[in-house]
Amino acid sequence: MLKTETVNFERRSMNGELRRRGGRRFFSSAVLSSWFVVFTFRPLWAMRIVSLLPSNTEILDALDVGEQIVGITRFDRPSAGREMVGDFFQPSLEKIVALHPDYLVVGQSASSRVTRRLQELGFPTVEVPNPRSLEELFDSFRLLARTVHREARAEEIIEDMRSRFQKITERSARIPKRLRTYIEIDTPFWTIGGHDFLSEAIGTTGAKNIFSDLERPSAQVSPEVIVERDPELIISFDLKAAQLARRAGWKNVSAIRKNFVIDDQDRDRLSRPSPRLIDGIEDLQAKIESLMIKNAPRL
Amino acid sequence: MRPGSKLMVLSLTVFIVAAVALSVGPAKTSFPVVLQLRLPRVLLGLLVGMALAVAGTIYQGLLRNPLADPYFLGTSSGASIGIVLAGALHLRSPFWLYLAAFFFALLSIVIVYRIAQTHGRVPIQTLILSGILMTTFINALVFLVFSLFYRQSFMTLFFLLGTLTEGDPLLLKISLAVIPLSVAISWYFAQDLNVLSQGEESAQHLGIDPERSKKILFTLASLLVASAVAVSGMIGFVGLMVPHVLRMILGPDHRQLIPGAALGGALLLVVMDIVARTAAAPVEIPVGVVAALAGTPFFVYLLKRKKGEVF
Repeated sequence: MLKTETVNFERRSMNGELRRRGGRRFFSSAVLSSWFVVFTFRPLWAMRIVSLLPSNTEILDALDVGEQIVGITRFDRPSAGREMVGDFFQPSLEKIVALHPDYLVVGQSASSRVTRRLQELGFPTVEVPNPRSLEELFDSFRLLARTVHREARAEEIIEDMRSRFQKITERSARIPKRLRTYIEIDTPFWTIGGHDFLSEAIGTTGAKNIFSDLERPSAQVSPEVIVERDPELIISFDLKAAQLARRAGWKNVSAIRKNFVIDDQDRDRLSRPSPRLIDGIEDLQAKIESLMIKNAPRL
Repeated sequence: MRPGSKLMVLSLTVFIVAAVALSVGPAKTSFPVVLQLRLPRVLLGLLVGMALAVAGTIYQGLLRNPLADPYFLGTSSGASIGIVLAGALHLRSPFWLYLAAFFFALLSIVIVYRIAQTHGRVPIQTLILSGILMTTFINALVFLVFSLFYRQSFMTLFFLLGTLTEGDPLLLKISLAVIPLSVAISWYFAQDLNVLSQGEESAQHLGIDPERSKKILFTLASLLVASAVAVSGMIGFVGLMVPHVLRMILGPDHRQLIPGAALGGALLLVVMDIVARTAAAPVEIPVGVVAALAGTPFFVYLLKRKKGEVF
């Protein structure tokens, strides 16, 4: 009689200790079929990335490594081959584990607790800090480029963005003066301070953030101070110009009086620290210029 | 000093503090700033403070419980789930918002009362416990709504922390009408409240229908809380602190206590809002946070104090 050896699969006791390991595990049918799945659907040379911030997804797409992304948040544009894993505050860890990522790209502050958990689970994570200036924005491109080995592509993108920003600055230099600008990112009275890349980016169009003196990325500010600083341009992500005008005491604000309100800006293009930012800024400049032309004194 | 003259002094203080609030702010004081920006806000502070303090007074009298407060009894949370649900169902009209806040505020206080009732009595500890139970449950519901309908959840959450920054103009007008009216009606029922706070048996002996008066007063208090939460989010501790301090000053008679609490609540919230507006200017602190910071030590003092002084 041929004595068959029993197959013992890995079993872990409650405290995680490995109990026994069978000898013929590798050749068992279950394992073989799973190897088959692995080799068919997951080429070993392709990296698998889960991105937990939309801006990082956009950066990776721009770096031409979009096909390596297998997991995204619910705030990203849905795309074939990318599974939604929740949002960056509460991603589904189970979904992430099931996607077998080689590493995760996360935001530094937004998901720090999640990050620690993911690191405990053994996933390498790349933390991208929220950029406080354009230079830091470019640094975040470089950081991600180093991870996916696309340094040259990153420099191309940065060079392109720099030259386009340069053009915007040159164009806006022809505007006779800087416009005092109030940017409302959320109601009521949430604005960006000087420690946000958007403050600097908008500045290139000739619009100067009236709260650039706040040494923080964003804050809820006093309506009195907004009126006192009398913005000449208002960029509103949420409320429309007519709604802003109805606010108590805002009728005499310069921007409202002259109807210098931009309320139809694509929010995602402006507020996400990604290569798309430059499109949003160019769009913004076009809008500011058309407002200027519309309000130019008749000769 | 007679209670009447004490009330006079109190209303004078409210006037002075309102004047100070109008002249203090992060921006330079000028006529348009005072008229268009500070006046509506000070007015809102006066009204919301009034509503919360009078609601607190009614609850403390009805429940014969010195720790009763709209915040701890779950009424504020009830109103907040009404607002959150109305928002989630796209009932953006202030009228629906108001109605939902009122309905859920009333519902939650009724449920809390029923949970706490044992053998026809409502013991202090059970009441507070069931209030906390309710608050916890409703907070969970609020977060459930946020995770299912996540649009603008951050802003709504911030609003619920308690803030006097900016409200819907129509909502403000409704509150402007409802709050003073409810306070006036509560004042009319002050004598009933006096009798009820002595116990329901004595109410029956004195020829008052305790169930009817109780229902009216609970409804009034819930209306006040709903009005306050609809325009300013959940501000705690005002409804707790003010009736207490005023009971020390004016005595337990609700005929003086209700107008006194209205004035005292207005006073306290306007003072807290001055801090909220100016402490970190030009950045704003939610006034609910200021209230909780100031109120928690007061709550500890109440818990540690010897029992049976006033009630």
